[in-house]
Amino acid sequence: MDYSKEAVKTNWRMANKTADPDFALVRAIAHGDARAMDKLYTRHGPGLLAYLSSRLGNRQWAEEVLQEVMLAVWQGAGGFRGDSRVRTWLMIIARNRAINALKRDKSLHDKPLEDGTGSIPAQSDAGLEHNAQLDELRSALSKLPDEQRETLELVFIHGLSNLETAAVLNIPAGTVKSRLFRAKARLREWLEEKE
Amino acid sequence: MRMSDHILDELPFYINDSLPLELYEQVEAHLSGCQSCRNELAEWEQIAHLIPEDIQQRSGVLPTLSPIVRNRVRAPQTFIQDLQSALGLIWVQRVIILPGGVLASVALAVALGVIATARFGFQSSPLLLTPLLILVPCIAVIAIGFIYSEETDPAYEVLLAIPTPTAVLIFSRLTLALGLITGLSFLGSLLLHFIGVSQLNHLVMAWLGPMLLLSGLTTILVLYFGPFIATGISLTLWTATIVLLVTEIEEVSMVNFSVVRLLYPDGWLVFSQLIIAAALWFLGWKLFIHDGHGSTNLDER
Repeated sequence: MDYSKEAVKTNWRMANKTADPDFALVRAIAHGDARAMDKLYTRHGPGLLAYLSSRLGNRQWAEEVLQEVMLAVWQGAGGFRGDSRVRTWLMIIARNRAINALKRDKSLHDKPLEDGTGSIPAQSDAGLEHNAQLDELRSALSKLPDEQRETLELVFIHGLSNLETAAVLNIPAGTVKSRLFRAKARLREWLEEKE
Repeated sequence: MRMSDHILDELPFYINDSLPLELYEQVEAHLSGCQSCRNELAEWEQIAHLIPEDIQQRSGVLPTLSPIVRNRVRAPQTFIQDLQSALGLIWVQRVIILPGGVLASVALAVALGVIATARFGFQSSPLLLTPLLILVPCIAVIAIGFIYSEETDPAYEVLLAIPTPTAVLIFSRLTLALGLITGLSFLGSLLLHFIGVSQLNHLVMAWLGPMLLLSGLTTILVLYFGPFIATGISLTLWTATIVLLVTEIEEVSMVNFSVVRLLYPDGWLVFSQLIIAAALWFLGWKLFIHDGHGSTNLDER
């Protein structure tokens, strides 16, 4: 099977327009359909918000940037050709907006994530032990280099393929794999210590 | 690469179910007979299981789309708003025009021409000006190519911050670059006219063609290919013209028409370059009118 980047891109271009249900939504958005915009937002908003929160480290800031992302989607929908899945396209926009926001407004939003998670539901007592484990995991993840953590999230939270992750991060596909394996090696150390 | 190495590379994407079917089946077949890879898979599954528990908490409740976005969605950007964006982008670029080097570069080129023309005259010895005529468009091309790159152009930052159609950016950049060159060349020519060295149109006509054409071309190319390729293409075109010019001066004409006419203010080549530059700007304007809303943002291409 031809697994080259170009071949995959061509396959996507041919298959996406019928296989990716989001493609029709983007087409509708390009023609000014506000309901399609709502649907796309409902479908992908949570994932984008999770990603932006992780990148920016501040929930409120992430919500602001998410609005910028949706505005960009509205304005860029006409130019979307289906070269990638819609989800990948959205992640690329979100990543660019996050990078720009970090350059532009970092000094205005210096609160860490833990201070900005007001809308996270309160945990029950039964979940306290579980929370302790999560704290440990957060600690292990926070020790990972940012680029490795971002790569892990794109693959395991957002379900992107190797080439899609490479497109979002603007790096070669081989680098995605090496980042994943370096991250795994570090997390393995943590898991072994925990056991 | 051993088979196991190849499979190990694919395990994260096997877990998130993003592999093409053929590769997925290949991984599955390998896993059934390889304990070592199954152990690796178990570790990846453990990590994949733990990470979402942590990160997904960050999503929480999705906020509603802001009224600002909703209003924009329901009311597509108008032509007036696009025009305001274009003017805004031109205004933003004052940062690179004044201290950044565009004004300084073009002004330097024009000043050199004014001094040389005042010293040697224009009509009497046009060949004395040849080095300058070669140099001036090069200065303009290099200045525009590198100052309009992503790293140095403040308008690009605005583009990233506020979704801006490509057409708006092309139109604003062309307007700025061509307007600046025309204005400064005209000032230089006016000065020469007042000191009685040449007629009003001489300097403008002799320089504007190559400068406008190559600058306009570079302005558009740099958006798509970056500063090195854009500058390279423009300078190559200019070099080809110069080669033709030099061979003709040495009386070895390579083409049927006279490239030396480029040196004269009424040279047809100058006129054609002016027309092409004007056409570029006009195309930018048409693109701007027709595609001002809804075109792809550059950073999402």
